[in-house]
This record gives sequence, structure tokens and C-alpha cells, in this order.
Amino acid sequence: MPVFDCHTYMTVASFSAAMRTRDQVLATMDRFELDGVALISGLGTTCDFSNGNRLLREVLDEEQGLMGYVTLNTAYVEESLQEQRMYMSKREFVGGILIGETGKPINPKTASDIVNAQRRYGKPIAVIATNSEQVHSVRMLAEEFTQIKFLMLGMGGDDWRAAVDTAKKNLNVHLEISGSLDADKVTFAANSISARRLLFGSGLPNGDPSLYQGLVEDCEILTTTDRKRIAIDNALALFQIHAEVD
Amino acid sequence: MDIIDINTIFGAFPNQRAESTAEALVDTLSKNEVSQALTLSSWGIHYNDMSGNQETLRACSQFKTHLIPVGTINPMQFWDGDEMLKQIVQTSFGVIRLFPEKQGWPIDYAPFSRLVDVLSELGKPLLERELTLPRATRGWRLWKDSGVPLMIEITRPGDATQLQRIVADYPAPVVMVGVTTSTVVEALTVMRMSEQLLIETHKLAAPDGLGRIRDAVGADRIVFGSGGPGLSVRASLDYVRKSSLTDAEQAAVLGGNASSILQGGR
Repeated sequence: MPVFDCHTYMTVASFSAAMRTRDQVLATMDRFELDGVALISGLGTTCDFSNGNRLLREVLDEEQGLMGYVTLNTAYVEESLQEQRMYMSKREFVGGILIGETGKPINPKTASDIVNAQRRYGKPIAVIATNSEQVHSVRMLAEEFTQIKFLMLGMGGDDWRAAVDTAKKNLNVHLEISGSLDADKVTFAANSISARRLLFGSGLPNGDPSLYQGLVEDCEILTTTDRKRIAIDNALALFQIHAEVD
Repeated sequence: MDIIDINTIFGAFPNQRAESTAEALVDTLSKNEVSQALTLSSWGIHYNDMSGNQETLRACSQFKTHLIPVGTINPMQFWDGDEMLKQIVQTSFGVIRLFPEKQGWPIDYAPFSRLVDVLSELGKPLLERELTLPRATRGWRLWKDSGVPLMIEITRPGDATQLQRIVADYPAPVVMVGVTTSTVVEALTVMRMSEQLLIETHKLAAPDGLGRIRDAVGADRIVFGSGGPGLSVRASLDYVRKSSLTDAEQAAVLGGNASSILQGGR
């Protein structure tokens, strides 16, 4: 079954060489049989978002399944608007990833200009949410900007029930399944919001795709169609990627 | 290949609603072709260690072919407990597991050091006991020349360093449970300092993590654990099976190494 991993980082990780260079990313995709990835710049999300976007763009290649997110930093609103203008219309960028202070939830007020501007491009905004505070932040954004689709990366971590609840109440919220490996997580989410808003992701190189492929395999209520939706169809639809999928 | 999952916990949790009964655990093990699991009751972590130990024994006697009991003790309540600990180890449990983060005590903690000292001295009397155990651990005889294997949560930076100092002279295997990408470098550093330290797999997630650990300290010091049935056993198994380890190394990680620990072979 074809797979699109919508949560990956192009980064220098201390304990993994899987995603440091373009060649390593392609080799990792080959190893885990990933047909496409949406890359986030590790440089961009940790330190230098502008150069992170610039360097990431050099790596992206739609033909090879190398897609990416534009990093948007709520501490640099004007500069982020500029980044949106520069990159968001390009096909290889599937959306924006909104960052704030490391490890802290996005402040919806400081993010509002950036999110508002995103409406022009018709592409989703991804937000890393690995705890309940970050989930709450996404909830507030989703309630205020109902025309924008949000992708919650990490599915709330151990607070995944809060993430599912947020998606249940806000139809513009989609969930990427990495994070906690609780055995009942995918079942609970599929029962609550259906498999149509669940997207496969791993957090590469911090997460191994095998873990989350196993998590989906473990979920007995999913039909073959559901599994394909999670693996790739939902990502292609959300990111408006028009690909021939076998 | 006999698979042994060294990290399972059954029972209710304060913040988790997964089906985590002993019955569900055995069902999950069977579905995933896991032969046996070391397990304990959640009561022993969150409520009271002695009550939990009794619950563990009850469940393990009900599912003898699959479940191997692991004892636990909370160092925060370990006062004049030498005899009690001796009784725990000599009557029922071959492995002791500790939960510093969940119970809120630091590893650099006098009651824990004291507990380790007492357990170190308990090695020899264990000669007397032999448990009736199923297949993979048949003949399990407790550490003729050593002590009781320990399993301990490693969750925060600094935990592994503190642990190494405390168990530097400990005469039996000590398994670090829950090492993540954030703590694995520290864990490997202390494993190079102390041969008896091993690493459990359930929180490891880097795509080439197991291969790197193998290269650093050897595959014989990696043991499979899942955190099931609350966490996905299938996901943890896939992480090992799809790793760069050879078939022989995978067999060791998934069962052989645990079997050796239980038989006192390390």
C-alpha cells in the first residue's frame, strides 16, 4: 500500500543519520517504502526559520515525493508573511508549519495575522501538538479560523483524547497519528471522527515509521479503504496533491 | 522463535482507559505470537506495592503459561523493610521493577541506594528457590552467583548517570526501561561503564536506533519490551523486526537475552 508520511524533519539528529541530507531522506523513504514525505526544516523550527525554508526548498522535488512545509514563526510576523508570499504558492510546499517559542503552545493572538494570510493560498497549517496545552492552542485557532484546515502533528502526545475531542468539535482539524503508542488510540480516533481525518506520520527521524505502521495494523476496526485513507489518500486530499497512486 | 516481552503492566491506570486487564494482556500476547511476558499489576505502581504484588501473583498464577511475575517496591515506603524484601524476592519474584518517575522519587535517593544494597546481599539465598516456569524459562534458577535482576524507569536526563553510580557494584543485570532518543546517548555512555546495564526497547523510536545501540554495546544488551497491553505490542515488535539487526540479533533481542537474564546467564 502506498504511504505518504506527513510528519518528517530534514534535520541533523544526534542519534540518527536518516534525514540529514537529501540522499539520506531518499534512502530512508526507500527503506520504509514511503512514496512521499512532507518535510519540515529542523533548522527552521529550532533556530532560523528563514534560512530553514530556503535550504528546504533546494531539497524538495515533487517528482520524487519530497514535499515540504513552509516554517512560519509567530515571533516574526512580518517576516513570516514574507515567507508565505515567497513559498506558499509553490507546488512542492504543501502548507505552513506554525511555530512559536520552543516547547510552548502557539499564542493564537500573535499567530492571527499569519493564519489569516494563509487563507489566500488555500493550503493547510500544521501545528506540532504533543501535550494538552498545545492541543488547546490548536482548538482556539481552529475555532477562530474556520476556513483554514489545521493538521495537528503528534496528535496531542499522551493527551491524544483531547486532540480527538478537538477534531470532533472542529471539522477543520485533521490529526497526524504519531506520538503516543497507546494501543486503543487509532481505534478511538476512527470511531470518533472517522478515518477520513487521520493522516499517517512518524516524526522521522525522531520516530520510526514501523512503529506507526504497526499501530495502524493493530487497529482491527479499520477497513482496507480506511487504511489506505490514513496511509495516503487523506494526505493527498488535504495537501491537494494530484498524484497517480497505484 | 520464543518472544519474551519484559515490559508489560496490567490493571487500571489513573489516566488511561485502554483494556489492560491480565486477560487482555494474554490475548494481546497470543495475537502477536509473544510466548511470555514479565508483568506486574498497576496497583503496585500507583496504589501500594504490596497490594500490587499480591495482585500480580494472582494474575500470573491464573495465566501460568504466559505471565511471569515481576515484583515491585516503592523506596519511599522502604523503612525497616529488609525482611519484607527478602520475603518478596525469595517467595515469589525473580525480578524487581522500580518506578521513580511515576512515584515521584529521584534515582539519587538514599532509600533507593539502601534498597539496592539489601538486594545485592540477597543473591546467595536465592539458590534455594526454583520456580516452575513454562517453556522459554524452564529451569529458571535464580542467579546462583549473583543477585536479583532489576528493571528501572529511565525518563529524565541524568537518570542513567545517577543509576550507574548506584548500581556500579550490583551483582546482577539492571535493565533501563523507557530510554528515549533524548536519553539514549547517556544510557549508552553508562552501559560502556557498567557491563550489567541493559537497555529496553519500548520508547526507542529513532529509525536506525537499534543498529546504533548494537554497534555501541552489542545486541546482547538490548531486550524487547512493549509497555503492552496499554501500548501497542505490534508497534514495538515491528520496530525490532524492521530494524537493521540480523535475524540472530533480532532473536536475541526479542527473547534470547531476556531468557538469559532470567536464567542468570549474563
